[in-house]
Amino acid sequence: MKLKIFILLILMMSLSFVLLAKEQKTDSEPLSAKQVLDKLDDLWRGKSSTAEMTMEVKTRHWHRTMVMNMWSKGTDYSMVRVVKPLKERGTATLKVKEEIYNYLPKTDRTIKLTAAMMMGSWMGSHFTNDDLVKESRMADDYTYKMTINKDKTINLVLIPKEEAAVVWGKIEILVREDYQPIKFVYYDEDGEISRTMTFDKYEKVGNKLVPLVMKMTPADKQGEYTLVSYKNLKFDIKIKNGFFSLNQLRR
Amino acid sequence: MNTWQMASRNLMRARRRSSITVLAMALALGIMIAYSGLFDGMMSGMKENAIMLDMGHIQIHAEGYRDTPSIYTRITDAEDITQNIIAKGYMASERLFANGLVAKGNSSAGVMLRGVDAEGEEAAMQLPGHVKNGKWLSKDDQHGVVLGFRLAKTLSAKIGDEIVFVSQAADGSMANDLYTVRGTLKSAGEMIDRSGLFMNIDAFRELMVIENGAHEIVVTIDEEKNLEEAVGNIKNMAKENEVLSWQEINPSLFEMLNASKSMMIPMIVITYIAIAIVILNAMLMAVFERIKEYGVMKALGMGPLGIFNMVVAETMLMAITATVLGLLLGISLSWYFQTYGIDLTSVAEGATFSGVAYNSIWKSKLTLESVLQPVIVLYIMVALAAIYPAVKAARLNPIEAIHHN
Amino acid sequence: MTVKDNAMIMKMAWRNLWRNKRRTIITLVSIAFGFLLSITFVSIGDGSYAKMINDAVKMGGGHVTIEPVGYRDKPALDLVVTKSDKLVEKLNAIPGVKNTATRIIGQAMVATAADSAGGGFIAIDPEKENNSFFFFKHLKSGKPFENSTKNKIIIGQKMADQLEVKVGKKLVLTTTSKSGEVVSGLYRVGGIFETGIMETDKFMVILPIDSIRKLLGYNKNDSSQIAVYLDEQREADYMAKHLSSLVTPHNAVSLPWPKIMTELAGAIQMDSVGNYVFQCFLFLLIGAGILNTVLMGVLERMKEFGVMVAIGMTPGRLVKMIMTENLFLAIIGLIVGGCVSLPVYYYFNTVGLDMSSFMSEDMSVSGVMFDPLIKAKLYWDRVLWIFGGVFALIMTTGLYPSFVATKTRPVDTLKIT
Repeated sequence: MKLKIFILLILMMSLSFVLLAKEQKTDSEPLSAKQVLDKLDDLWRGKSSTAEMTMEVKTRHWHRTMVMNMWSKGTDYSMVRVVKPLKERGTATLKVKEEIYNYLPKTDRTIKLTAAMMMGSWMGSHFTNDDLVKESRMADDYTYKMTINKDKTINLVLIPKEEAAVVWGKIEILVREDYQPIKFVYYDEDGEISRTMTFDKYEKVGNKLVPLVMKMTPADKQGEYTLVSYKNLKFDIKIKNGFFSLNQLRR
Repeated sequence: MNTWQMASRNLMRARRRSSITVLAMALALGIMIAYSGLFDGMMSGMKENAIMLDMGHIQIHAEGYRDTPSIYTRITDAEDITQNIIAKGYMASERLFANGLVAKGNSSAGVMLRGVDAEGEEAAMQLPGHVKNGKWLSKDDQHGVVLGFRLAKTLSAKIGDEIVFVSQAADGSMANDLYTVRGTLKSAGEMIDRSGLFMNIDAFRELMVIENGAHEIVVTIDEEKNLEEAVGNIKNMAKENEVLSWQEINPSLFEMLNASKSMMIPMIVITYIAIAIVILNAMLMAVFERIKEYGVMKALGMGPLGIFNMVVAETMLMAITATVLGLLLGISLSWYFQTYGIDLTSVAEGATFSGVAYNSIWKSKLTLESVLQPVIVLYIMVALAAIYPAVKAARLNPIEAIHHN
Repeated sequence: MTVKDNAMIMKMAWRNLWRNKRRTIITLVSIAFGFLLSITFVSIGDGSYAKMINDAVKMGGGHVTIEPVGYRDKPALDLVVTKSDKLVEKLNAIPGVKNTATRIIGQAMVATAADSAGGGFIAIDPEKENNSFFFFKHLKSGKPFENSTKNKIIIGQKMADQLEVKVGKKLVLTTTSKSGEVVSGLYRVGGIFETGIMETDKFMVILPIDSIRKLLGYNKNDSSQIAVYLDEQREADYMAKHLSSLVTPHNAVSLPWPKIMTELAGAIQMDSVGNYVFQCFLFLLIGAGILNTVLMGVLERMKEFGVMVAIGMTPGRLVKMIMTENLFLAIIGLIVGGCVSLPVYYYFNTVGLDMSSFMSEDMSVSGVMFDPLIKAKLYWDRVLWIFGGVFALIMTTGLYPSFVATKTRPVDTLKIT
């Protein structure tokens, strides 16, 4: 009997060693470029998620801050609903599979986004509707090259593939040693910087480390930016597909 | 017996011929006057349309607005400036513009939303009277809109329908609200037809969160001849804003209108060539008939000049009579067309020339010029036509003439 | 009345005419002049309309447009003309059809890193249309498509400026597919055009048809429109009716261009009404002149007529004689008029009438550019109408004088004055 327990213990310990070792191995083995890109694509995508978002937009003519609630499930469903300012409370954007809708509570109207509206700004920010909808993965649309800097941060240079439907000429990504993004720089076809997205406030949510703050700065508009920060971010919440419906928009 | 007496007696002697010739001249003159009036009417109608429906005589904008329109580029003291202009005796009205989307049911369209001062626009412009269905905006209507002719068609919008307008307000928020269609306009020019959506300026201000300022102040004046003076006055009142006359705003329309003045002349000349032939014919016959007479007169001492003058006098007398009759005909036709016009609605709806709408009722415009021009050219043609016969008569050899069979 | 009778009347009429050469010649000149004016006005008018129409349909949907059922009421990319290739085969075999163009048209958004712009696209088959396509004649830089499948796009100068692109640069085209999805594709600028028409240079985009078919999820032979170009623009209405049964199995209808470009049709109609009125008036004038002359001639010969009646000529024959004089006048006048008009028409047909001093540079009628150089064009039926009209006019002017002639009183002729 004692022998059995002893062998079990040793097995368990070796198992844990193996497991530990494996984990360590995973930690220490560097990711390939593709894996880094995939990780970045999946940064905020859990199976599902919800959060409270604060978006501050500064343009040459105005400066606003909005507070919104956000829910998402996979890549097919997401909903964003405005809580503050009071004037726009209830305004929402809903994505169901391929279709996107904007709901305007003041007029109780739902507008389905057409191709023509895709490049329009989302809620007045420097993000476009297209940015929100983007389904394609960076690894699919771009060819990439990864280099490691002296300070252990990693550079990824992405060049769009021949047929990829993206407007950028180049994207440069800077990530931390732990693969957390620091900044994305978007270049146009002539090599001029078009916009820059920076990340900050890295926190652990669930068992993932994510930046909770993103800032998008257009290159050609002095002093303008959009700053998004997440609060109360939760991953893998229980949420039904039916939640993402036009009816739900109007509650 | 003087030349004129002889001339008139000669004419009376061949009454039928003289009257037919006079009638032909009178008809030509009358119709040319009427035609001139109609042509002028069309041109001035188009000018009226362009100016009085949308452009105004003078426009004021903030510096840089015309090159790069932006809802943020506004005339700051718009209200004061407008009041000053009105005090000076002109008519002025403030306007605000914004791009946006209008939707009704399943149809949607990109539009240019126009916030107008309902009363001011009524005083200064004629667009408010240009309504096809329904009516123009009333002063305190915060929920009514008026649509351009083609926009209404695209959306299948009827009076009383509800539409939603969406855009980005000046403070960055989503501007959206519901409005009721109060009226739809007749064709007023390409831009308004396709994308014009009008609402009260106060409603606009609230929707788009623009408290003060205006994108445009439109000014109309009573008499076009005072335009230059008005521009000068307004420039003084407009401070640092840009003041432009309609010719500067739409130079191609201006050019076309100028060019069109000379377009009538070839028409008139061609018509009168036909008349000239008629006159030539008549006078030649007259001369031919009286060769014996001329021979006798010359034998009795009347010099060639005398004969020449007599023939010319005959022609002139006919011309004068024709002028009276022609004026009667022409002016009454013109008056009729000026009052009632020719109804082109079935044909011309929506047709434009250089972006300006044609009038659906073609009205004549009676002016001194449209009457005088045909008259003057008539006399010139008549005089020319009289020369050959007169010369012929003057150069007759008296002996041969008397023996003429 | 015997043949001999008629022959005598004709002889007399002919001689009467030439007894007063001057008057007859002047009358003939009036007739010829009137004829010349008429032909000139009509041919210039027709020429300028034909040009406007032909230009407009080149940019638009042809003289006859074949489009899906219901498209006119609600244009959308999910409505298609099916099996376009088979239909085109049948169409090209019809006499009067010059050629056809299969197209897909719709709305799209074009974006670059700098900006985005909304516009309308026309997708064409380069093999068929490279040489004739209107926009390709105004290419400022770049060149037409090489083939139908490559992702090249041709845009207007104003749009190129807004998007900050040149030939070779890329843009992303976003539109709605047949199934209602929003789809995007990458395109490279193959060429930039400048037509001078603001709206076109800002909003129109040209694509190769097979590449957009792929993006839209269309079948290989689906299209939005088949533009049918005719040899003669006046046959549009007839052709449209003629083709309607042919196109029905393809889920389509055939419409003549006035149904598509209603405002242009309206503007042209207005102008031609004005022209018509002016011509009637000219005719009236010339008629008056001729009436004058003929009447004069009759009045002069009242005594003669008196004698003729006294010796047995019936009033009927008298009328016939005068009408025959007019008949001769008409015939000769028209011949002279025809001869004079030919060179004039030839000149206006080849060299044309340059109205540019009367007009500014960018005149447009209901959205179609108006070319200040107008070439005259005569249609046979017009010529016949003018001939007929002038002829009728001259014969009519003979009526009153004939009537007056019969009023002759033989008794008076025997008086010695």
